[in-house]
Amino acid sequence: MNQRQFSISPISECSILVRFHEEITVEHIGELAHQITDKLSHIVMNVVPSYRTILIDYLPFRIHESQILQELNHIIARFDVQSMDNKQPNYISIPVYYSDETALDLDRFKDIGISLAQIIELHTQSVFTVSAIGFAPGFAFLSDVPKALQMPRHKTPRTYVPAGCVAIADSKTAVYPSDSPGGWNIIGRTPISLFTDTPPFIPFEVGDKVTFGSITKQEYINLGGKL
Amino acid sequence: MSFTGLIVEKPGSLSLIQDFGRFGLAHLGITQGGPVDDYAYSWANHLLENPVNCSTIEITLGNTSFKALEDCHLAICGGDLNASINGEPISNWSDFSLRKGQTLKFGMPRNGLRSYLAVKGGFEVEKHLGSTSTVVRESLGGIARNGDALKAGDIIGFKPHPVPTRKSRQMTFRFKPDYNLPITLRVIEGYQHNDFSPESVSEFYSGHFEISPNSNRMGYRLEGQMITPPYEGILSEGIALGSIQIPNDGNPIILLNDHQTIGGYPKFGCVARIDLPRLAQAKPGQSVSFVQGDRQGLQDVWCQWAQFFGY
Repeated sequence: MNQRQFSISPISECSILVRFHEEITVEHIGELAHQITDKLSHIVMNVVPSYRTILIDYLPFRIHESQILQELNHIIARFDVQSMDNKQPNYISIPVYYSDETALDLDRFKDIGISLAQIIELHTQSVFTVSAIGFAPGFAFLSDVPKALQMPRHKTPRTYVPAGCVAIADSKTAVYPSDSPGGWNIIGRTPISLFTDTPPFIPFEVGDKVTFGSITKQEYINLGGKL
Repeated sequence: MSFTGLIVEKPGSLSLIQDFGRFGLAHLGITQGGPVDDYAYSWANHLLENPVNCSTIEITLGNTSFKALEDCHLAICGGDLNASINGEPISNWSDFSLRKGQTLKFGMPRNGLRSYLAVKGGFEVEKHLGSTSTVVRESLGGIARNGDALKAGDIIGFKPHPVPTRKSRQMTFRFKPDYNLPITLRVIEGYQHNDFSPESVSEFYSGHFEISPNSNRMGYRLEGQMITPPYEGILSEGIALGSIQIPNDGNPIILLNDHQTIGGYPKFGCVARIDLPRLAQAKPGQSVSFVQGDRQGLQDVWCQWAQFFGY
């Protein structure tokens, strides 16, 4: 990667933010975050990739700031953007029961002329990329929802969204990994658990690809889904 | 696991098991947790010659009591919550012995908000995702490994140990902060700082703010001077501890240990690590102002502190 495609800035005593130029994809950023974690494991506390940035929390009493800046510059500059072209991305497929009883915001889509069948078709035909993980443990922001399915979030969030709900907010889709409040538009539910408290905790990382598959009510229940 | 410990008689409004925090999982959306006043937490362990990561109890706002099931050697540091043993006041920032059957009580806060209670060898709590720290919002940590705060009847175990025969050890006066004073926070400028207008920057440094009642372990909200953000939102990016977010309503939010790992509000910079304990002990209504900080100088002080406590 050439020096024009990224910038590295210290933002606190123990954090550094790397910003990337638009031509660097989130797949590159996810892979780079891995390399930084592996190469600097003895001095970094957290490495967080998200959309166009990587945040690195490190221990300034183990390495001087100027030295870690140099090492980061070295790792990123040496990263071959083309090398990702031959790399098979990690694909995850998530089964979803789309229905009147699980698509809690179906009416909002009907209001703009989108039927349940169209939601299923558009949502299952897309290949999404994990662009960021946050908000709650294992909550992945998946990009990008086809234009016709984009829907602004609720002005007033629901106080309770059950775990497994599959939802849309603007150009992003996501699965709620645990029960929580939330303002996204719910279009279905998955029976699989996306966050567990044993490693690897979640099935995907930033840069991975995610697809959704439609399942019947019976399949949903057989896979352990609850209604 | 031992069967001896402290039994919670009154849990108070929020008593949480905290070790140093949960690290290395922020890329999965898991926050660090840990003591919001890491200075007081570290002193409490230090007075008992404990390693730095030992589990303690963070007691917020007091009205809390524990009974000893066995003799033990304890320390309290941080906010002064009028602690007493069977009615006899005990000094803050000190270690002491609690005998079997005695009750350690925390009353109303006199200075600051949160006290750290440590035991010789650390409380025996099973780790959850690498840490005992309780993060209620994420259902992680604590004695039941589900993010629950302490409840009446809970037993927090410790390994049996001899209680000291020497006098109680006190921290010297010059190290004790007065948490009730107005707070001046040093700011390390960064993130979107350069995009704020010169007027917003000068309003930020000349403005007077107050702590909002709507403040907690996730973040401290400030009210008073409104700061105009340069734009409404940004693509979400990683949040560093102490980040100063400026949302659309113009009221700054300073993010503490239970913060979300990524966020999309413009950020002015970060509050210095060594100033965060003062903020975390501040009460609603307390006044806050900001000054520009020097990153390298603050880094040196932070490193000395880290080395002193053995982080």
